[in-house]
Amino acid sequence: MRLLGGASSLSFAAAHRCNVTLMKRELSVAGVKCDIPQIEDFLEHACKDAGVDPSASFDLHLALEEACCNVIEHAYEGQGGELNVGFETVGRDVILTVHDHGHAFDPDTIAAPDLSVPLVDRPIGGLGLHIMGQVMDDLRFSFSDTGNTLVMLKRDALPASPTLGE
Amino acid sequence: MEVSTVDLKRCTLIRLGGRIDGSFAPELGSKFRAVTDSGRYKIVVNMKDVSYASSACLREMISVWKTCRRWNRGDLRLAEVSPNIDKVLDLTGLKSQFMLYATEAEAVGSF
Repeated sequence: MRLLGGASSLSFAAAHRCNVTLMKRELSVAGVKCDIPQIEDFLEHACKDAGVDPSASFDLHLALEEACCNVIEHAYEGQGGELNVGFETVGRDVILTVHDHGHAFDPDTIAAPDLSVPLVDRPIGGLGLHIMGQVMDDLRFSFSDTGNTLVMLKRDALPASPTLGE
Repeated sequence: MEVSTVDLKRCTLIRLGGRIDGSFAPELGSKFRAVTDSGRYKIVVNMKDVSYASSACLREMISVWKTCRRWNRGDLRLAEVSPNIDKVLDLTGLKSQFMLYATEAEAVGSF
C-alpha cells in the first residue's frame, strides 16, 4: 500500500488513545450522484445511533459528501463504480472511510484555494478538499491494487461519558 | 431542496430550503441560470431554511455571483444565513466576499 499526500506525517491518535471500536457500519453504493442522499441518510442514522454531537455531525456530513463527490466526479468521471463508505467510532472519535476502484488520486496534485484572492479572480471549484481538511482532524489518502482509500478522523465527536460515581 | 423565485421591483428573490448537496446542486444552478438568462442580475437568496450546503452548492452560487457582477450589472446577496451555513461560508473564504444580510427586507432594500 502506498501512502500519498504526505500521509506518513499524519497520525491517528484514536488508535492509540482508546483502542475500542464501539460501533462500525458500512454502506456500498453504485458511485453515482443520485447516491448522495442515501449516503447522507446512512451517516445521519449512524451519527444519531452513536450519539455524535450535532456540530460534529454537520462536519462529518460535509467531509463525507465532499469525499464521495470527488470519487463520483473524478475517480469514476461520472460513469459510476463501486463506492464503499465506512463509519466507525473509536473511543470518542469517529473514523470515516471511503473506498473506490477508480482512477488513482494524489491530493498533492490539488492546489489549495487561495482564499486571499478576490472571488472574482478565483476559479469556481476546488473547495471540496479544502473543506475536508478544515472540518476533519486527520485525512489519510492511499492507493493500492484495490483502489483509493480515504480515511478521515474526527476527534471528540462523541460526548464525554459521565464520570463514574458522580 | 425547495426553491421559489419571486421577481420584485428591485431584484429577484430566491428562497431556498432543505439540504443542498451534490445531487441537488445542478437543479439549483438551472434555477439561477433561468433568472440571469431572463436578464435579471440583481438577486437575493434567502437561506433561512437551508439546513445544509456543500461545496457543490457554493460552486453554483459563485458561478451566478460572477455572472451577476460582470460589467457591474448586478450582484447576488444572501439573507438570513444560519450558523451552519455561515460556518461553511467562513471555511471557504466566501463570507468576506458575499454581501450578507440579517433579514430578507434588508437584502432586498440594499439594491
